[in-house]
Amino acid sequence: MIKMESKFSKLFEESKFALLILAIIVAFFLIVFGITGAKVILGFILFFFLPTYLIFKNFDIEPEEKIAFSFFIGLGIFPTFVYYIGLLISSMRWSIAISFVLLLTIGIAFSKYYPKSKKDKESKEEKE
Amino acid sequence: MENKISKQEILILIIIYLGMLYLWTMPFQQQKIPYGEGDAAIHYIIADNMYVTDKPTLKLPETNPVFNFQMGNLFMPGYLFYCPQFHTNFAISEIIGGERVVPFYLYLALICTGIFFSVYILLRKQFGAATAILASFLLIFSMRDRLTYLWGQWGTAVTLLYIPIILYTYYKYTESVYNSKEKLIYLYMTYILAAMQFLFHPLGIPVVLGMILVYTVLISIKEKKLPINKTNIKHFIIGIFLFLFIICAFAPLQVPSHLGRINRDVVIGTPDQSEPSTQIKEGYDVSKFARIFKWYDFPEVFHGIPDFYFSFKNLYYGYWMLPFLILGILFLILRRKSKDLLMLSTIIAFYIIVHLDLINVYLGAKMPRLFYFESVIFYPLMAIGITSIALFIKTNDKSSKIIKWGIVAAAVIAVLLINAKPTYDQFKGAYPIPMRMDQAQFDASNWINDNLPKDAIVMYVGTPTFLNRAWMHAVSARMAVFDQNNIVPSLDKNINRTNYILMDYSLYMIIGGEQATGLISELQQWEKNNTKGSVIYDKNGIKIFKTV
Repeated sequence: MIKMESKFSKLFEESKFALLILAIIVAFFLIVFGITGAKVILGFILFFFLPTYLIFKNFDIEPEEKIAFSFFIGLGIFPTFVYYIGLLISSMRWSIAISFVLLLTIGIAFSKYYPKSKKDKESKEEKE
Repeated sequence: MENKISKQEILILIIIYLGMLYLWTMPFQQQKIPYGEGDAAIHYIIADNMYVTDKPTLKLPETNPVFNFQMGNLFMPGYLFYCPQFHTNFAISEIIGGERVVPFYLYLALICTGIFFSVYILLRKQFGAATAILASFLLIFSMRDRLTYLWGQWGTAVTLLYIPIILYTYYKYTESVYNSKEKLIYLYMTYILAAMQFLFHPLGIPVVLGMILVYTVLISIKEKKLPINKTNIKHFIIGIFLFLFIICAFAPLQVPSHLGRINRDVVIGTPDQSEPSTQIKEGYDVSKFARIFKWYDFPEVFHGIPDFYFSFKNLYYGYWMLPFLILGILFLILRRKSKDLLMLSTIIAFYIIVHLDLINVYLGAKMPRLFYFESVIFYPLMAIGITSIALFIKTNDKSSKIIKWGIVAAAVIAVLLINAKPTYDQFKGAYPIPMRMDQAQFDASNWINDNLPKDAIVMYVGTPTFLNRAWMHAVSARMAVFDQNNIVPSLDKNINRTNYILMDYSLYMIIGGEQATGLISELQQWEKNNTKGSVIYDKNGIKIFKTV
């Protein structure tokens, strides 16, 4: 129980810090580029980063690697979906929405079904 | 080595990065008008076409005559020649932001400044926070990077972004093999990231491949065994297929064209003198082996980059950083840990690649463009050189840390005093009028885009510079004709081809003076003689006529 609580408080602390960083970044874009800037940076994080991060967060790699790989691969994956779905349905705007939902679903499903035994094994190795 | 990245470090990193972003976005903070060289306008046309039409660009917009004779897609003329991911991201940004200028350039700034984090990731765990932050900081003021960013060779800027991160994953994999804790994820990440890099621009691939090969040789000599063995060779082979699968599946129409270009441009043996891209510079002695000791001298011509670009003095604010570069290289040679060999392999591989002509391998007109990647090699080595000074001073652990950060602080101050001002000035004054459109030209171009039929052909009269015309054409997204050589057209041959004439007095009204007044009256005379139709737009010194 105590262990569980400390894990939660650590997670809470980390989330708070991540939110602080996000707030600083969004505030910067809002101040310098107005609402357009804020939309662009939030969209950038949401579309290019989030879906791939949901996949990479499961792997046994360093936290900064998870973030970096998610961005670098998301930059290539997301437009691929948008472009080809866009060709099929003839709408870029709808294609962005569909691609996002699709990739997010893949990310969530991957996160959920990524072999639990692997996660346990990796976290055990990490503790050692 | 301090391994865990603290919250304070992340905070400092983010603040420095936002400073970089502020500086790099100065060209469009006040003047929200597109800019760049001809390449930039072409990228804008392709990406913006997706935003304006709400459809992905499969075939190149027919409004641009440049696409008709430009070396586009080799096997499917008229079709997109860049892998679609490159331009689609710009269009996505425009759609998210809901307009055509700021989101486009903001996405560009984000990916071009991404090199800050890419280099940080490469160096942080291997060389510590001081070296990593310093290298990233130096890149803020990198003239080579900012020129690529401002001019418009944006594909190269994105491919550059991937080089450090690919090296990092490969290094992590080889380390895991030699430490008998093999982590295949890093090997597969190397291939996947290389595929992503290829999708943005293939030019980075030979560079990163060369670096990986040189590193493999060096590390194999050090460890006395190859990182490839009987058990993992299958993963190396699967990785190659994975790479090929990704690039072919993600860009099926463009990959053959890219490979065809490589086949066309790379010449082994004597280059064909009739081909501009493989012509040897007049007076250049191919057998001149003195070039072994030169960095920037190369035989090809027609690469389209000014000579200014190939000089250490010009690009690195004099020679004051050269000793640190040399010190960094010497330090790595003396220490020779595996991480040192990785960094050494970057400069060795680059040297070999840009000297391949000495063994009769000619890379064609693209070869000089490889120098775009030089900063990502030099700045980390300089940062290593600067921080290595602390290691030569014998002290205890605590004081050595203080000395190291003290040296970094001194380097930062020197950079701010020497490199920062020219950087600030260049960003602040980037593309002034008439190197970029004035507000009246931009408004008129937007009006054309919103109001004229898709097949309209507009003749520009009075628009002063080529860049003005290129960008007005890009923003209006309509076919344009103009007299290349004269502001006041001496020939009226274009009139028969157009159904609209745009009379542009805007700049001359802004600058005023005798010369401008003279030009205005010449243009008025031309207008009187040649425009018979009705005025459909008349604002801020720009008139658009519909010809009969």
